[in-house]
Amino acid sequence: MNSLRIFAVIAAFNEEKTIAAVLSDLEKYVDEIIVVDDGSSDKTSTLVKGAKVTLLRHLSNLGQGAALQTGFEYAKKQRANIVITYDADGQFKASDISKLVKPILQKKADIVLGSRFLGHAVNISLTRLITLKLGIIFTFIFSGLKLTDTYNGLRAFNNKALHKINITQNRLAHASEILDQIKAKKLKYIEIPVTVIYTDYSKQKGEKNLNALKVFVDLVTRKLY
Amino acid sequence: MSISQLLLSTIIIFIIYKTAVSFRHGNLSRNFTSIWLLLWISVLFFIFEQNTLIRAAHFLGISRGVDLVIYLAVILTFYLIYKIFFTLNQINQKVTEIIREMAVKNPKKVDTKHKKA
Repeated sequence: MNSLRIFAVIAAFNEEKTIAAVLSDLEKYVDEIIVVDDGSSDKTSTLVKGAKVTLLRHLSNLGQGAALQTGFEYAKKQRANIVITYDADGQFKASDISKLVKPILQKKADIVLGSRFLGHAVNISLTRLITLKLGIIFTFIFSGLKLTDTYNGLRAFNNKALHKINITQNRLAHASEILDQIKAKKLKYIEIPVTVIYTDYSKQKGEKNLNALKVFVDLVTRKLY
Repeated sequence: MSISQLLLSTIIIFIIYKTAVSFRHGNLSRNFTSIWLLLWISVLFFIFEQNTLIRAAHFLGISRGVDLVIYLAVILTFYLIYKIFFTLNQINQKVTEIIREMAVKNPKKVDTKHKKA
């Protein structure tokens, strides 16, 4: 179909419950999967298996942003043409990857951003919905990008974007940083509808509304230096 | 000499002594030591020369000498907090780079053949 090498980068921190299923779903849609074990203390790294899978391990927990950048560095070394970022908690549908990659193959975008609000946010809680909507306003004010979803981990980068984006925010603020860099480095972007399925597990792992405050503090303090 | 002057000057002399020892052991840079010593010697001077402190405050449009000291202390504290944040951020970035380099240099292919429970 195409000769471009599509890599998926997954940042995984204590994801022993979901990682095996996520990898098995993903294998059909990409050429290589890079799992960055971000200093997990559970059995995540021993459960990372698959013919297409490469495991990179952080000796200590640095955060999702740092783990994704580690995956990007490895993908660059491996001459990946397209890199997908994918969450390890089983919230995404691997079948969305074909839709995600399409605008890059058609040269319509350097970065494709998944949007749960153009697609479906299954079982989303009200507090999460409000937090994400506030994030959209925050992003518009600070980076000037008018998006329908700002903290969606399902994205695709072409080679140009992969080399231009450099994540320095180690933790959750990396999502805002990527958007800032899209604007600053004049990368072409497009949003496409995707499905995000909230499970009890994913809610427990990621749905801390205090995280929004942490992201805000990280972004503001970083602007100071 | 009042009790407060005696107490404060003893503390400051101890700080100056500790700074000098740290500098001699090579733990502090020349620039930092100079600024730090100048700061504490000035404080020591103003403890005994309070009229000069009051005159300096009036010159700057501040009514009391002690207010001038508080303003300067707040500014210095904020500056030091900023420096600490800056240094911590730099250290954090270096640690990140080291951990990343080690991870990228040691990729592990985890084919299903390597299955271990």
